[in-house]
Amino acid sequence: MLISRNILQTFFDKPLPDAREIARELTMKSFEVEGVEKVGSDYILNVDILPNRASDCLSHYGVAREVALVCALDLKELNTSSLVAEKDSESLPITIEPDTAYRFIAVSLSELDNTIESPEWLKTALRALGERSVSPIVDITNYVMLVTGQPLHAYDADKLKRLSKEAKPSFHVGFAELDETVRTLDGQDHILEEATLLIRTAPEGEILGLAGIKGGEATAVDERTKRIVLEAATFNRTLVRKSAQSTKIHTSASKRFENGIPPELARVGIEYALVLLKDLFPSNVIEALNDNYLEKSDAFLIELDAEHVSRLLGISIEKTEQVTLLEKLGCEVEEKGSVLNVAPPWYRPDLKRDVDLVEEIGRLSGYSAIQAESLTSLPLSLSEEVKRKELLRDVLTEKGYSEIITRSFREDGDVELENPLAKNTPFLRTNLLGGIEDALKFNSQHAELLELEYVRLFEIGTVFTHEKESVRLAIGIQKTKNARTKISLQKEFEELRQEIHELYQASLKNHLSGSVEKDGMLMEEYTLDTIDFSTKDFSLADSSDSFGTFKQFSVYPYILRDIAVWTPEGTTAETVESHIRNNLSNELQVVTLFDRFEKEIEGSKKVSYAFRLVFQSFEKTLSDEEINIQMSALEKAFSAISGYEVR
Amino acid sequence: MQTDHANEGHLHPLTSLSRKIVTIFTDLGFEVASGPEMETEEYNFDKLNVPKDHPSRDMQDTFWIKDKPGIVLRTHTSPVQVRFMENHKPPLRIITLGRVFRNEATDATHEAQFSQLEGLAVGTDITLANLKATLETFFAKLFEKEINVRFRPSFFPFVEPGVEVDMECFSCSGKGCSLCKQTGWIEMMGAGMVHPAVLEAAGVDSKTYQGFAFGVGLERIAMAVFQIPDLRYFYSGDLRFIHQF
Repeated sequence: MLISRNILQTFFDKPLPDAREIARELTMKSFEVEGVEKVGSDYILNVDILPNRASDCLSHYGVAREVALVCALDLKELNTSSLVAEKDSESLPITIEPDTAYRFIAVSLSELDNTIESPEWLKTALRALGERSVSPIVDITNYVMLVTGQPLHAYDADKLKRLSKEAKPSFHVGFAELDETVRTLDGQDHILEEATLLIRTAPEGEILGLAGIKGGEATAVDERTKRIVLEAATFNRTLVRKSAQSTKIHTSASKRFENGIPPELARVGIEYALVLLKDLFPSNVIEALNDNYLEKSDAFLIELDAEHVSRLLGISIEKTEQVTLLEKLGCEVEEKGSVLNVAPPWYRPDLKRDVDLVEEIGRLSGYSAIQAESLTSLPLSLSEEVKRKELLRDVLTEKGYSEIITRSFREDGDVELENPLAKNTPFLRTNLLGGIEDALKFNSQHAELLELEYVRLFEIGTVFTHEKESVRLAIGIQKTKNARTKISLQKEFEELRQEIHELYQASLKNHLSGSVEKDGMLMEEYTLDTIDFSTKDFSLADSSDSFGTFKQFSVYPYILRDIAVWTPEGTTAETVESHIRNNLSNELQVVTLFDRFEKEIEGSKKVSYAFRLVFQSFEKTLSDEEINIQMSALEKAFSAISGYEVR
Repeated sequence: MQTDHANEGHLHPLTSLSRKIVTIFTDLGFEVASGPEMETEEYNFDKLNVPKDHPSRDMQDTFWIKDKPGIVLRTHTSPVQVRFMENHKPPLRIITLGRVFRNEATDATHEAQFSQLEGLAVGTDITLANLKATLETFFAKLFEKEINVRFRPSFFPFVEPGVEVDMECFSCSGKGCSLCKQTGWIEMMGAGMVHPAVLEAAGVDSKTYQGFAFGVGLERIAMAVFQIPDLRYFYSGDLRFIHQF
């Protein structure tokens, strides 16, 4: 919700603190202010109103109440014209189907002029809040909603009359029939589902609009409008929510209705609008008013045990202080021993249980007062079950397998999502092998950089089949183009299984759920749910180590070069490697020794070293030419060393 | 000379972090509990005081399972709280680590699937002050330095009072730096006192028992601990990333 500091100021005699100060106080005691932005001479606060405060604080006046509390300022009453509570059902008939609305106020006004421009203050205020100025009547209804939180709707009274046989406005709140259509204010046609909440004329049943969401085009005010009927209603929140969902029209009005606004607010909204209309159109006349208030909500009491407040918060707050805070919130409080009988104000329908009041007392007295207090010690040792399962990971990493964690969403599977995020992965994985295979292939491309001859991976994760959800282990190995050692993949898996068998006395083979063998790749998957992980003798790798930090790796491709060099007897690999590093740029990322042998050449013993070099830049894709120049320089440097000879 | 077998495999950083978290909370008397990733609407929402057709449902964009009405991918690990309380009598202390799903667009700090750490302590005298101490101990052991925690008012349907938990910036110790956007604080998690309606839904007498609960994205902690700038690395299967830890 965007909140204008200038509008807030109109509710206070004293100058408000600056916008950032207000933001800080609200964030620590009411709700988070996500940002403050200067717009012209105004500051706009972006306040994050969550569902618990949507009933009262999707409005400037509601936020002003909070500002008054947290900045300790006196709040002025909203300037409303008090209407005589009439019920003129003769000239403004209103009928309401059971449970569709709790209150419906209609006021008909004449002697208006919608051809003029909205006053500058109104246009500025709307602009600052990101709203468009349309016409004075529409602007006023929008402004009233932004200030009070009550959505209003203005109908062109003459158009209403034309829809009625008796030539008078009439309203009926009820439901749509299947496939009825409505054309909304914006000229869009909507085909309706059953149970969409509608306002119609009675008894003709002409559709006037989507109740609580958007008005219809047929009775929209335009620049020729001279007479209007102003509506302020309290619709059933659930029905508005369902209607907004089925029509896929979500408006500022529907959001407020969905969150539940109190019926009392309808009167506030109308009365505030009448003041603004009188200011703009001094000669306007109220022709008729009908306030159809079906169900006056009974004032209810919350019993709050004053001691419960301290018991939950862990700080002691005196009962008198609790009473003071609750009264500041607008509650009426009656003390009965240690119990407080609290009647919340009408504008706080979110206060329903004693814990709601505990929260109010806690936040207003300040959570910073809470001193950390340790839980009573309850010695517990790490569960054997957790440790044994973790041990499996230790065994696998010890054998050179690295752990990956991959996404649950795949291209195919047994269980499909109703509303997938990506159209190409609408299924939940039925196995882990797809993720392992993707990662084996991906990492093989970086074999030299990773200094791996074989990529070895495992994942432990949940899969979903027609039958059930289960936890699996998948292992995979992939020979890379960097492989110089020849091994049997099958044999390696056999040894791995054997090791796990010895540890857990459980044969993985019996739990095999899948296996794939391809060129140079082997993968197997096991169901872990059914494995008995009991083992007598084990210790888990120490987890008390400090954590390392991430270093960004290059996203550019790398270039490989091999170099072999004869050196005099006694030369160490380290010496040769340091020559290599000293003569090449910092684009040299990896130096791997892959061959060493000795030979007598012309009577003296020589040692040959062969290194594989990986070049990679953080800034760009390296070219072969760039590396060739570096390699020539290295070869030259080697030739200059006595007894060295590039092979 | 390097041989291929000399390469030791690496644990995923989320596993290393989880192990440390489990160790820290075990010392504080919390046991590890778990539950299914595919949940019923009842356990994921209704029993957690998130009624049908209420805007609080919109706070967590949900994946629904096709042809299985009322079945969802859990949007949080909180259903485990309810399942555990249904089967265990208080006093109890648990943590849950597990995968959760939200139907949200992905970017450097959002994934449609991520891991959550959830904590729950229920007894006759558990307070918000206990929550503060528990979290301060947790952060201190994790970051190996003293770290203050502050509460701000917030809303989560399953707790009341509900708070947002900020931790003092571990990088600048609250002085203000680029990591904490000069505020000295980093928003870490949601928490609060378990809503009596949640206790009641799980068959716990809310007049006798009370407790705290907290929930935090595991990746969010990992990004802070390991100084990882992009959440998507965790699920990349990229050894250039995993081999660093």
